[in-house]
Amino acid sequence: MHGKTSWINATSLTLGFAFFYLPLLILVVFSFNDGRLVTVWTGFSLRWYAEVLQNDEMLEAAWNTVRIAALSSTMAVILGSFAAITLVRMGRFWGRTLFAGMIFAPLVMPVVITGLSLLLLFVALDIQRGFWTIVIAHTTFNLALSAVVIASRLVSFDRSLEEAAYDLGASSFATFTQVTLPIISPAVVSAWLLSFTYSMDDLVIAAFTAGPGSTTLPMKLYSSVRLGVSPEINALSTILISVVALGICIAAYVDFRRDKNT
Amino acid sequence: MRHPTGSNGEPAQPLIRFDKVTKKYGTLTAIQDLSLDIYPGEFFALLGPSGCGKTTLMRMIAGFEDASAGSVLLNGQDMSGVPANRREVNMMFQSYALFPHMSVEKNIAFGLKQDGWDKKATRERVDEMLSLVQMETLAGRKPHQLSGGQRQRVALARSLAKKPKVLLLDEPLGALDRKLREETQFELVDLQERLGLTFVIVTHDQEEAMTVATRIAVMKGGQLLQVDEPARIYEHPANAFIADFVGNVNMFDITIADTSGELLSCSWDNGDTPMVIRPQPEDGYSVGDQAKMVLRPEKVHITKAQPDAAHNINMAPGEIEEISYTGATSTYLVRLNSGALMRVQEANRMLLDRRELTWGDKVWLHWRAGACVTVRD
Repeated sequence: MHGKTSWINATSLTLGFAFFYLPLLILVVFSFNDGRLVTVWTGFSLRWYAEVLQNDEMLEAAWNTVRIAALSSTMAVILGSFAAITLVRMGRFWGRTLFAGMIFAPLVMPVVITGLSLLLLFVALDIQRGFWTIVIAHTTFNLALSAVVIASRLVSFDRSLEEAAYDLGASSFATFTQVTLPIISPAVVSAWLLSFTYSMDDLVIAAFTAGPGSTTLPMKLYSSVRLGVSPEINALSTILISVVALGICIAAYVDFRRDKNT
Repeated sequence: MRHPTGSNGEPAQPLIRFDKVTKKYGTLTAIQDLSLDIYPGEFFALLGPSGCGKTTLMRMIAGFEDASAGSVLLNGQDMSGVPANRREVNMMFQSYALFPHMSVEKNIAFGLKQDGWDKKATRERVDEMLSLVQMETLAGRKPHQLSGGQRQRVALARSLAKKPKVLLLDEPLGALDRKLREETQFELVDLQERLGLTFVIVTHDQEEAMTVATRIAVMKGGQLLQVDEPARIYEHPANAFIADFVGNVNMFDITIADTSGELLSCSWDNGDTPMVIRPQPEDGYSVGDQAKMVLRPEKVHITKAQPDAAHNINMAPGEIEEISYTGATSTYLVRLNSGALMRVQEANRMLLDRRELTWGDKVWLHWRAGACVTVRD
């Protein structure tokens, strides 16, 4: 795009961004508010951050969330890599289209349906709902996400690199660990980070599959809002936004580096 | 020639032997009952149009493809069941296939690492390879920081690092521009002679094959058409396809009219006067045989004046229809009075503005009986 941005473009851009980010901005600003009221500015203070960090329930929910996110992204990336390799490398096997469709379906399925169906499954199998059921549920969704990200990298992977490694005496295992994996690793890393951020902010699936003692941060937030919005929640949300934004930025950076190098 | 006979005149042991090899992909036959010997120290070219099976043949030596029938032998040993990573054969890939996440050094050391070389020996070998391809100063670079020519050198060094018995080159120079390609061709020949290794190159570029190879196999449709030295392929093609595929050519249908003399005399469909051809010992024509006469454009002379007649000179009058100037040479398309079109190539010994010939000129073409060869089909 060349030339100056016309005033109509500038206006629509400003309005669009304002629509997206003004609410977030207000939330962040009021997390530093000294007063108890969420809408009246009384002065700068970090007191709500201090309160959040002393709220054991909040901290436990945060710790749950991080552990669930880390575990489910790790499992999703491992399984997603296998799925991606199968899809890209195995050629046209019987049922390939069905397999691909079923891998990617959770991405477009309404999360309510995913959550509900998992809930019904856990109930039917008589599995005690709690921490691990959320991990499994998040892995399901993140697996689809990871498979998409990693498959897109594998499609552009030059197979002769693997043949060259094999030709130079590497075993299949050495070829995978020394050539294939390092080359697709940026995609694996960004898949992990995307999965992590997704898991961090998921409310719906977690609400369906959680049990006693496995409350996640988004669930905690949601339930506290129903009791009235306290500035403490603003502080917590700001922390959450920062973590998610950081994750996405790192994923984007890793992707950018990968494009530059190949 | 350095082959195919050993020092005592006995036939040398072939390094690579294809013994009645057939390769099928489903119903498609890529290689059809092919036998071929490649000897130690050869620079052997597999030449043919795309889809002729030359790459399949090379990948069979490397171990990436198995023969559907017949066997591939390396040093007299059947290679079936020996995977690519256990063969003393290395390949330089068309795309170079350099590992993008490794430096030049690490790329070259990759094969040595797989074989468990110790650090010191690896270091020495890598340095040796770097100086062989004159890349010492760029050892720490990543492939994406190198030019096409430099990448090609690294790929070459990497595939030579393990001292393979055979180096396979898959269209190695296709990505280079013309000038660099020609330089690199000479460097490859030089390298091959210095190292005394066996090189097998796959190419569709006949000039490249003729420049680098000591022997060429021309392939078509999964079969070998001719296996010979470059000059034999060019000057004594086994059939019309090779004559046409390798270089430019004039080809005319002829009928043998007289075999009694030193020279064959034949009628050709467009000429009023008989053509004289110096026969090859293996020809064995009799009167009335049909054949094709093959005449390379650079072997025909073009003059304004009628040349002196001689018993071993053919001549024909015509008119210049087209001239293409390519710097070193000019190619003239001449319509003979009999109607046939003849391609003539002359070196531009004079500056262009001093050239006597131009479009529409009446000219005489003449060529010696010894400049013509015949093919049967």
